[in-house]
Amino acid sequence: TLHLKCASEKPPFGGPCSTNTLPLPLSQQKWVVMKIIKHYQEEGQGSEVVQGVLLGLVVEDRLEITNCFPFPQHTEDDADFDEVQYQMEMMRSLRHVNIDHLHVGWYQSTFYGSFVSRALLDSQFSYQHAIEESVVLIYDPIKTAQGSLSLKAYRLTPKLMEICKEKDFSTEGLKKASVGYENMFEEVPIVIRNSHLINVLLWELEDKSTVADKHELLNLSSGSHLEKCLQMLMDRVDEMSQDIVKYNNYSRSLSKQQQQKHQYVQRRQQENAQRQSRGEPPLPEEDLTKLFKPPQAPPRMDSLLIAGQINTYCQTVKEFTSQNLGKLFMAEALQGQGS
Amino acid sequence: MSRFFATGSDSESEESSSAEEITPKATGTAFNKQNLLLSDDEEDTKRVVRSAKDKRFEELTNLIKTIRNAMKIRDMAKCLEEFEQLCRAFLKSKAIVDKEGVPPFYIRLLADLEDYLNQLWEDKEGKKKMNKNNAKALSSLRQKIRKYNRDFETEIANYKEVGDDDDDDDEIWGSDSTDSGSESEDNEGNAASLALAFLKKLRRSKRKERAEEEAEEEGLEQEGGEWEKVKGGVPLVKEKPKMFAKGTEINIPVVVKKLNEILQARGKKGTDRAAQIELLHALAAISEENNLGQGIMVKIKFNIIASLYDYNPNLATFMKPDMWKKCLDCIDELLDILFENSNIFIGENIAEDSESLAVSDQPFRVRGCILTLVERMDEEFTKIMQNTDPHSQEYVDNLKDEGRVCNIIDRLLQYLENKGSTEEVCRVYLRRIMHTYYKFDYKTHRRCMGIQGESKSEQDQEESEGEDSAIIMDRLCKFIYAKDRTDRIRTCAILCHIYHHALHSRWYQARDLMLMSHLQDNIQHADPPVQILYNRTMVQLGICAFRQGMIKDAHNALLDIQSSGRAKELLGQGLLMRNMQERNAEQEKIEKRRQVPFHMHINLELLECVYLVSAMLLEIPYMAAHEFDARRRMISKQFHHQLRVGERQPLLGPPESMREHVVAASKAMKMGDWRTCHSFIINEKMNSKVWDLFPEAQRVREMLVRKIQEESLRTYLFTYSSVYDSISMETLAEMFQLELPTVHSIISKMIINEELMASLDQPTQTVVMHRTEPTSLQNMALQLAEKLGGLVENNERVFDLKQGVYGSYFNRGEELLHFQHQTYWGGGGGGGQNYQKGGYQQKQGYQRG
Repeated sequence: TLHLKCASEKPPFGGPCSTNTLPLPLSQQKWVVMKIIKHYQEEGQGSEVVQGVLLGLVVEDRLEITNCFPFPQHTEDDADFDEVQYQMEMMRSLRHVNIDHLHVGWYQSTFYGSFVSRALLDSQFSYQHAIEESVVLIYDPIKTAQGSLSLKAYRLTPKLMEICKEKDFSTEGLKKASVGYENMFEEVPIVIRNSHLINVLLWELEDKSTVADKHELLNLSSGSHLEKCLQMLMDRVDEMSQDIVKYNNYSRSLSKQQQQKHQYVQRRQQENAQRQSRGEPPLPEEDLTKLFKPPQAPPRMDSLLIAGQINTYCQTVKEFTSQNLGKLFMAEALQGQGS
Repeated sequence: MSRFFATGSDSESEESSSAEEITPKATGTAFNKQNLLLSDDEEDTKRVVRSAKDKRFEELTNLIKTIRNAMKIRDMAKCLEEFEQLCRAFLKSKAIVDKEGVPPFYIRLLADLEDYLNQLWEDKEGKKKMNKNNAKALSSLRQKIRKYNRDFETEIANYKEVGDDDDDDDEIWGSDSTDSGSESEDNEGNAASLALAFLKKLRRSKRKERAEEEAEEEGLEQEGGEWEKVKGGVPLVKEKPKMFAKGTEINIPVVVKKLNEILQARGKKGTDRAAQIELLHALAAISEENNLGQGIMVKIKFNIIASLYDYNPNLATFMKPDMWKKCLDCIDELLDILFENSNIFIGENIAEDSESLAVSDQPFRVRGCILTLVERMDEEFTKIMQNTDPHSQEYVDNLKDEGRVCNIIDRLLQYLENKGSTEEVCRVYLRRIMHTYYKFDYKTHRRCMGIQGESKSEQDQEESEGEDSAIIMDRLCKFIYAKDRTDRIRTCAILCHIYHHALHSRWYQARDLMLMSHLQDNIQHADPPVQILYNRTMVQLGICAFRQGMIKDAHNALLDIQSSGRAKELLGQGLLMRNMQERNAEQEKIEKRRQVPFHMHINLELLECVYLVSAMLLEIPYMAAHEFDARRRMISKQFHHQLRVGERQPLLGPPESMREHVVAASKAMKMGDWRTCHSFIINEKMNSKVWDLFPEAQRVREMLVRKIQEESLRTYLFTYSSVYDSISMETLAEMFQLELPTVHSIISKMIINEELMASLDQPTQTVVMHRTEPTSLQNMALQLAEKLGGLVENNERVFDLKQGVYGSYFNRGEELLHFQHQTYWGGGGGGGQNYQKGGYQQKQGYQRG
């Protein structure tokens, strides 16, 4: 088969830790992308999120996604709807018609790039736990509507997998695993392939399309989009702030208790020393942990996720502004020419 | 006579009322009652049980009788009703039935009724003739009795077996006996019926006993009844000899002794208070008859009034109208005497034994405090007003007495000004003030309106006339300020004074007095009634400020009362519905006693409207000016709440209530549309609801229009300045119907306050905008920056703590070298700082399809 590379291949995201694991470069059939887009167009609107299952297989060192199907929209009426049952049935049916039916991950749409959440982490963890090579595809319909397809594949890093497996989200646990917000997910490069026929069709369509169809790429009004991004960024920052305050309170109460504990132990020792000098038996040891129950440590996973989300937002904003700056310069140059 | 006096034989009680002992009638009656009670107690215990049974059974038989009657006339509806009652009554007497067995007459009725109903049911033609109601009742009754009779199946069967040989006579006991007799003869070994029969026999024997006893009792009762009749029939004339034995020389010591005797019964249980008052009146009449002098009269009058107050044992209940009238009359008479005889000294400090009541050269000295009596009277008046329905004619009638109350207070004031101590004068002054401060002085108001031109001579004129309430208030209050020793009276006087000033639109005096008195600082330590007065004063002050066009002051004064949402409660004008946990019955009673009578109420709608309108005039321009400000604060929460309520409405009809009007006006003002705003605030509906309540309604309306125009202009400039490069002031003046200088001054003020980024171009009379306001995106970015600043600060605080505990925290990044972009704590902590580090240079191209 011949491949159509739609964009320059991206360098693998995720930094140093991704080299020794299995970030399979994805190859993806175009029609999978089309199906995802169609799914969103039909069912998703606004900030609503659509999800679905990816099917495919591992070939050599690549993960090929050859098919997908959407999760049906949930309604309140059929509360007893069994998603797992539906998936299994769907896959069985696909198998009957001889289509790839191996579960290799899932996809999800996003609203202005907000996808780093606890829900995503949990479900991706369970996928990756069951099927090692699973990925999650994040599709950004808004960016796509502006003219550039935005589709990204993510996997949890092995470190995060470890933490999730142990369910240790405490400060120490995260520190030990040295997981920061930037190495929670690793991005997997995507290559989109198509059959020749489709390629030919696409070329033809490209030739036929008028210039006006591509104008949306050059749209200069960026205010509202940027505002929305900032708004969401601000919300996250607020959450972060609250989280930090919570943590702050925790550590303060912890240190206070440490101090009390310390004092208590010292007093005990002094007393014991006195008793010893008087020839009396020392006081029995008491369980210190019972006396001083340490305060509940706030789980840090949430703040990590928020940080990750903030990071994503920042990248989006940066990307967006740099693109827009380019456009603005171009527009300026054009105006200069015109006058 | 003590109530525990000896045994209850009639002869003795008759003796006691004989003339040799001077027994007042009141105690006599008490004794009599006691006597009867005692005779009851003497009975053996068995009788009590039986009488309870009798009572129940009588109830049942009565019901049965009515049912039978209804059966006779085929009134099914009545039958059903009575039957239900009967079932209920039977259930009530369950205890007795359990003991005695089901009464046979009851069973008989059940059986008969069922038969009768079945018979009716069968009779199709008769049923057709029945009206709807009856037919319905018939069917339901039939079902009911079927169900009901299941519980009595055996008994009914028994009864039917015995046969209905006895006719429907009313002599139940007699028929009972035949019943039981036949039953016992049958004797089927049915344990229940056996027991029943046994019981009945026993009962019959008991009945004989009872009959005798009853006869006894009846006789007793008759005697008692006669006795009481005599008592009740005794007119006043007959009583006189009872008070003093015939031929006794009536002189002062005897009367005083008698008086004391009467008074001793006071407060005791069983004392007939009405009779006591009568006695006192009689005594007064006697003393007058015998010319015993004014001293004794005064003393008796004091006591009459006191016992009038005592008439109601409960502090919460209010006086009955006739008592109240009597009380007023008495006080009036007392004051008459006091005015006529200047040689009477009264006071609470005069000891009982140092009184001199005899007519002599020396002045009379009488113990008693007229001031306290008048104060009590005033309180009673308040209580009466509190307890009358404010929307009834009765209230108006009661309110007419206020004139008399005021008159009495005025007379007392005159009296005390001559004779009383300063302390007493202060007290009576306060009473006078309390009756004056809330009344609007229409006379003066009209006069002021009439001769507005010559304001200088106005004051002289007013002073010379001396009837202006302001002058009176001023005089009384100033006396209190100077002479009062107790803090409370002064506080009240100040508050009333302020209220009065505010009511008459003397804003500056009112405000200055409020500020000078420093009441705002320590009012929370005062008792609740004073606090209520304070709240009333503040509200009145706020309304006054509003009338004067001091919107900000008005808003500030009303803010506290309105923001709580409990204005009604705070002003003592009604209780809020609250659940019982927060307030028990006792507290509720106390709170009820604190309520201000209706005629003194401040109109709550007016209050709220004034508050909302002032909030609107302040808030709308403020909102327009600070549209993007993250740290914008609400001036008035309540106003915002109203706005939100308005926004939540799914369908926005034309405004109905006052609040809706204000909300609609606010919306219009937001757009700078003063005409619509004006029409919402001032229209017929609002006039009748609110504005016409002001004495100077027209002036207030004019002020309001002006304010609306000005504030709309400001709002317009804030909202739309970004659209303009420049605006001609003339256009603005035309748009808002303001004079050019006013527009000029408003805009200049805005520019000076840096609210509007613009400059004035003098020659062309235009406002030139500078366009320096940030866009919304820029605003957002500024907000974000601010938030990030906060985040960093918070984060640093975490570091500060960490450094103490884990010293080498900052080095972590270096230790874990493979993290190139290590940031502190979970990454996000770095916030604003780290994003600039340039760690995210990866160019993320987008694939294009």
